[in-house]
Amino acid sequence: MSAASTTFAAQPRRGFRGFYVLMLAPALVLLLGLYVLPLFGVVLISVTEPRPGLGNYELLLTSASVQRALWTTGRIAVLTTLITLILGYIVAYAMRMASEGAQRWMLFCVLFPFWISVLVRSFAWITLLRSEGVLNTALRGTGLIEEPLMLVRNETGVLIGMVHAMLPYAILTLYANMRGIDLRLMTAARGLGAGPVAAFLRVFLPMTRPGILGATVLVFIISLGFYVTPAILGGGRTLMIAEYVALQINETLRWGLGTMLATTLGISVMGIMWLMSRVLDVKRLFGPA
Amino acid sequence: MTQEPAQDHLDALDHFRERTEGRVIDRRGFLAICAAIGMPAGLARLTPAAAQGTNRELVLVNWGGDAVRGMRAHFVEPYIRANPGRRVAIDGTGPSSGRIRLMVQSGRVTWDVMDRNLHTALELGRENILEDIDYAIVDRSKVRPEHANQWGIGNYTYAHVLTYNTRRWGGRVPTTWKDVWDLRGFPGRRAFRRTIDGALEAALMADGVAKESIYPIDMKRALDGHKAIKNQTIYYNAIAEGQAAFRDNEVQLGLLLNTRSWPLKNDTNGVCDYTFNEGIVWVAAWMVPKGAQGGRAIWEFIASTQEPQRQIELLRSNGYGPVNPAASAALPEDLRPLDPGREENYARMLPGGVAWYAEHATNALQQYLDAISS
Amino acid sequence: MAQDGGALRRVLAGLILAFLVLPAFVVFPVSLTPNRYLSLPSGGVSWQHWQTLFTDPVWLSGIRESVLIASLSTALALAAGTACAIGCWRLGSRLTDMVRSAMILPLMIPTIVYALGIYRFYVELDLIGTMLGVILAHAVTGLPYVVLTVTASLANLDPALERAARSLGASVPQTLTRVIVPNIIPGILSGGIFAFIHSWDELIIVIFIGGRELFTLPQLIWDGINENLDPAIAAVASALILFTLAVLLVELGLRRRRQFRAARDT
Repeated sequence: MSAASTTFAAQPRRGFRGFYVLMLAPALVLLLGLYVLPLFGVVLISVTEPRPGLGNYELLLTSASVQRALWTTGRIAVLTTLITLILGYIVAYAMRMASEGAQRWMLFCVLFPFWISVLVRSFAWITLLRSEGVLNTALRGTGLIEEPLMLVRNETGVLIGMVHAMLPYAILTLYANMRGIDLRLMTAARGLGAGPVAAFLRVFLPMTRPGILGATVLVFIISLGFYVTPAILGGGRTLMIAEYVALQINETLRWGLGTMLATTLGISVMGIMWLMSRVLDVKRLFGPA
Repeated sequence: MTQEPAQDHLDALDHFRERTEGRVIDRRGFLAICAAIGMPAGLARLTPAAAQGTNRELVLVNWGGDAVRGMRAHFVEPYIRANPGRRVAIDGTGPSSGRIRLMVQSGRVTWDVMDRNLHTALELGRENILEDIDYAIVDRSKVRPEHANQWGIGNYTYAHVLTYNTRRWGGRVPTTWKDVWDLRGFPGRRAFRRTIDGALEAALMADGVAKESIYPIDMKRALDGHKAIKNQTIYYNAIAEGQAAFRDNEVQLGLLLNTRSWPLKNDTNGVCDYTFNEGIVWVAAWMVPKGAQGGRAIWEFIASTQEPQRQIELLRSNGYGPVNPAASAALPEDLRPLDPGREENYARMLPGGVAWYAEHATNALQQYLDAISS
Repeated sequence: MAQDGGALRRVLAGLILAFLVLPAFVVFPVSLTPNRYLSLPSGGVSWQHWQTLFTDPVWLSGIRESVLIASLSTALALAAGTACAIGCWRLGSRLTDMVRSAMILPLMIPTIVYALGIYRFYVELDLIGTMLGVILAHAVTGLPYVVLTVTASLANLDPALERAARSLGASVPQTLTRVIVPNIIPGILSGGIFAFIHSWDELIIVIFIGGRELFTLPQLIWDGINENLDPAIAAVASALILFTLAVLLVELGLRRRRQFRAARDT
């Protein structure tokens, strides 16, 4: 822990501290009582079924099937997160710079995907993007392309659908963070002779690091858990880990394997976050400016 | 049968259930405990049901949508009319194996009758989470011998059938699975479901395996078949998705459930059609979770669904084939082409391998998904 | 700011926003299809699916249940999650970092695995088939969204502000409501929207613990998955979009009137 945050943490008087500690209580009670506790017995299944021991965890090293699902999921989640963050940042930044009225309209558009349930959304993408779909028909009509573009029922389709679904999360998280930034700082930087790019890179961007971090974590983790959209838009050839787990729990009754994968996911995401906090120096980000 | 004397024994049982975390104990263990606490086994099993009486509401669980509407109209309502005072509710949220096991293990079983299929009944029965079918009340002779086993009794028949677009190949249409695997002769996109039943058999028939020697399934051969066509194939999860793909001409040939191929033919005014030839025919089955509370009424309800007329009505509304051959024989002209169980249709198809699936479905499904996803 | 590459920024942002609204161009027409399956209308339009939405008791009760469950679970998640994020921010120790990470746990574990656990738990508590049970489960799984977004928006809040407020004699609750919360409203709202949508779309937990007493909107939407997807689900989406549009227009109208008054008064 850095010296700055130690002094800072020690600073609040006893009474104040107690109050803030109390503020953690409701969430902790909810989480421990209604999540961790019920989950505990389930996690135990991973070391008791089909027989006691770490047999299920060995599958991580030995089963090509498990490894492939993990690899597919990781690859798609990383790609989705990258694309989403870049596109989302552009929109969030434009929103921050826009007038109040324009911001409302942009926000309205950003919320669009939320109101369309995942089944309808997938159907809409298929209708728009399939080889005889709206887009391909239009493009061929204008003579821009000869052969239809294969945009769905493959991994391109998976990415389109996932980026679309994840963008609102990224944009809103980034925007919420950018709202807290005083734009006069940019003006001041320009006044001190910084070019527009330098002002953005040196002043604005660093201040949005917590937003980027939050959006990355949110989008990446939600992406890991996606499967309806990938299954439909991927033409049934994309098997994500969340579907893999659901299959073991709901159909093949290999609960040991399913719960092992869930536990592994939980631990490895925690690990990734811990690493990120190391590399990105979260202390400084979350602590006093 | 009075409740009082049994109460202590039940407490003892509850105590045991607690210790075993509600896990259902096997038959021998159960009998041993019953003997230990000095009560007849039948008493412990029946007491809750007897205490509730036959007027307790039965809960029938199926997969929702039209199945709820059809079964309510043609199974539940006639049963209630014939047995005034009884009640049956339909829960359409789906009796997945995971939920059945969870419910039985938790010790609080609220479902009574479940609509699954015969090979699942065999698989879950062996897991000891289903009740034996009470053939003293349910009439085994009203279904084909292959459509009943210890834990499941046929409910209706359905088939995975070759479905195709009639306009795609200038008047020619595919008639066998070999045609579906013939990428040059029948170019176009294929459709298969992301489940193994039907998909594996189709691949083997396409590769020239005779119907009689499909089982036991040669997994490598079947999967090689799918690897050869998977890049031209859409593997759908939901049946509605597969049907929509045909309707929108996104796929031109492949496998679909006969219950949906028929409406598909109507929706497209005959542009899409299907054949029972080389279809794979299955039987949906009633099964009952271990510890179900409905008692005798469960079996009486199941027996009532064996009535030919009710099955014929269900075929008319939902396309579910009558499992009772007497019903198939009595079909009016217009319904005959719809019924997978009718002799002339049944004979052209391959009966799905119940025993093989009960044993191998878990591994085979995983291998199939791995093969099409890689 | 035009010389800041403003034009390029606006064009790019416009394209991305167009991508976001693109599916709506399918969803609106589909809600008017005369067929009973999801499809673009060909040969006439029909309002029957909108009618279903507003008159069919099953759809009405599904919508009512979903609104109720989503609103209450969001309120719970927001209250607990915001308090937790603020507490962690202000205390800022290694321990609170762990608390914050733990709060994200429900997002990492595949829902179906949690559904197994909560089902067993609720059998003991006799909460199966109750709305309370679903609300609590959705609240706890909605927590991560709130904690993450509120944390991100707290990061730019100068702690000096909080110290200043207190040195001026403000109590902790006053500091909270007058200084901290107003500054992180965008984060709280975003978290609330995420938590709401999480519950609104959630299917697996409801199926496992809802029993047949509850039948929410997602259950209705998935109900036709074996036959035909009911175009009423496109009507639901369209109605929601129109509803948010109406809220936006009213809000913009009020704002304009306020600005007009303010301009007149000065």
